[in-house]
Amino acid sequence: MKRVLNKKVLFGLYNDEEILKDAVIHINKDDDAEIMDVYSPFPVHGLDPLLGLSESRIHIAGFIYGITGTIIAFSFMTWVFTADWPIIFGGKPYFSAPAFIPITFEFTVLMASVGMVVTFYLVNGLGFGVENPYLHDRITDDKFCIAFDITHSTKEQIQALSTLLEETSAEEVHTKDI
Amino acid sequence: MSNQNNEIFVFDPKAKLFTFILMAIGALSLFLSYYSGTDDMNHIRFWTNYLHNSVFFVGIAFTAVLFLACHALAWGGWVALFKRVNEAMMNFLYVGIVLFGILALCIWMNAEGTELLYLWNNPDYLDPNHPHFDSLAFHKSPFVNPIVYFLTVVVLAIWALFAYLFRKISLAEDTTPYSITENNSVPDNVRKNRIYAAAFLPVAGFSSAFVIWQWVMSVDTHWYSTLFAWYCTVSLFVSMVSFTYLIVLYLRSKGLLKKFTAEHTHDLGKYIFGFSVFWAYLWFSQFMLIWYANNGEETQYFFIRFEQFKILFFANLLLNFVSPFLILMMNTSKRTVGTLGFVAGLVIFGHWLDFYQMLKPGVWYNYEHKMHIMHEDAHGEVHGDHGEHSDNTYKLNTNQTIPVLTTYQGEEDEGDHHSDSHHDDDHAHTNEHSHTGDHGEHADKGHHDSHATPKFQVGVHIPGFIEFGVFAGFLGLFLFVTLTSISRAPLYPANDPYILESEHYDTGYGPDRDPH
Repeated sequence: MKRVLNKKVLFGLYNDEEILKDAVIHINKDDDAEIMDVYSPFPVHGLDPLLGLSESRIHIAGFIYGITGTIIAFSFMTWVFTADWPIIFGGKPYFSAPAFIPITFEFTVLMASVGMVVTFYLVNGLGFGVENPYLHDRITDDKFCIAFDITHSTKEQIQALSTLLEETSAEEVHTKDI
Repeated sequence: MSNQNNEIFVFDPKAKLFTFILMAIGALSLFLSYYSGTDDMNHIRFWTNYLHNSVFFVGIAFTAVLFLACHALAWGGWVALFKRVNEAMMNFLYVGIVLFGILALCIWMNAEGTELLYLWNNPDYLDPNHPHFDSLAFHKSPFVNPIVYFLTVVVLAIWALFAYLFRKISLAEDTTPYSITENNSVPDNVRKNRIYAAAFLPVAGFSSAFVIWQWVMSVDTHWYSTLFAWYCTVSLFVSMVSFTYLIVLYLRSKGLLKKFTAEHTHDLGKYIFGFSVFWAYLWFSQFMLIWYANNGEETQYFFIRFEQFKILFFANLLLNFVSPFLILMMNTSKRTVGTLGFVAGLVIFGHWLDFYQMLKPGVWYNYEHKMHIMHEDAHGEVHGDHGEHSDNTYKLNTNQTIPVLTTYQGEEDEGDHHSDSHHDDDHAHTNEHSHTGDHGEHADKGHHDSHATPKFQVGVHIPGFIEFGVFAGFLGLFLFVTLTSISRAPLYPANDPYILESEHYDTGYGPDRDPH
């Protein structure tokens, strides 16, 4: 399945993350230029606050999945070993909380991790068989990219943006439909 | 290189006086606990307080060395900004040599009360021909004995030597900027520091286990646990990080360490959080395996704590795991000075209580063990091998003024409560009439199955004023040594190769960070 975003994108490629960060600071000063996104081969330290991105809320989801896992595992084992199929292990009482804790812990971790992965994939439109558009091959290798959405921009605006990119020492400037 | 801030901490007389007051309180408490009476209770109170606080604060000094060695070896530069605090803390090891030297000497000379502190220090139990012969203690006596106990002081001296070397290298930086010899991109002093750190880590790993076995675990001479040493070391490590943070806060309140930011706070918070969880992991691993295996020799440790020391048992978990885990779970609380400071204080108290919980019930058991033997002697019972006392058939006897944990069952005499003092040395007399003619019931196991609640005593089941007083005293001593050491050297290690990395340290946590 190929995703089509119906967007026209102007983007510049940079060689280094420090140049990229300086470029972002420079572009932020221009009120007309609004950065659509920045792509990089690896997470760039200190880029998030520059782009005004808020803290990810995925860990809140993770906590909810985790606590769900805790409750499910503990109550399920309690039900099995006290009501459904009570067995005496090593002379311990049916309800032996310490023995439940390792499994409860593991199930909590399983739920939280798998839940967070699934949530992350869903939110970002990733997953098996989904082919997402990309701007340039080298973004996943050694280039850093600042992209502008120019779908509804006039020719003058596009010209201004590409000048801006070149001013901030972008190596290459391209446009692409995605 | 920014050399403009040659921060020097001045240990002002007011703070000095405060530590002296704390030390005076401690000395008074120790004095009170030893001389307020001549009976065993006071002696064991004295020795457990002494041992407990010595282990706690010397352990903190040791983990400070460990902390620096780990960061030296792992190229962790972010500690450079406040490493002088840890370097000062580890100077307490010198005091530790004296503290444990005194203790080892007293044990060697068999000072009054030390035979109750360490079961193995009672020669009666180790003599095969003596009626009180304790086969388990005898079996372990090649390892736990006064001579080997002296080795712990030697280990302390080795640690102190490493502490001396680390501090020397670090202080030398201030006067001689580092140089780089040919064929080597690493500055000489850093390389030397790394070599010492690499030598120290294996030494520390094995010797800390040995020391913990001797100091703490051998109190419960009949008992053993393989992960006990890690459990103790982690306990000490968390306390050390908390102390580091609180001392940093104190220095900041004096207008020093201005470059210590929320980023450093955040990482110290992560340490407290992470190692609290690791502590709980070890606690639980130890508890669950022992609980599940139900091997009498091992179970006695938790049995006595769970049955008689419930408050300590649960307070320990609440303070050292539940509170830091829930409070520090959010990133923001790790970065907030007030929250982390509160948790640091809580955790220090919690781990102090943790060590109390490791030592006091063990000593209390040794005491009860002795009372039990005295009681048997008074009634002319035939002694078996006292190693049997370590099985899990304990029964608490209700009717005695001193709650005695016994392996034999079948002595109950309703309504026979004595109002005598607990400190009655010759307690066998007070119980005499409650036991006459009961000997026939010994085979009747399981006849009485009611559990007795032992008398609750402040100073045994929870720490009393004397315990807190001694804690205050050792805290005063520790702070005095640490702050004096801090005042002896500039706080800002201007020539540390990592100092700029530390100044610009960034955990990568976004929102409240200033974009530069």
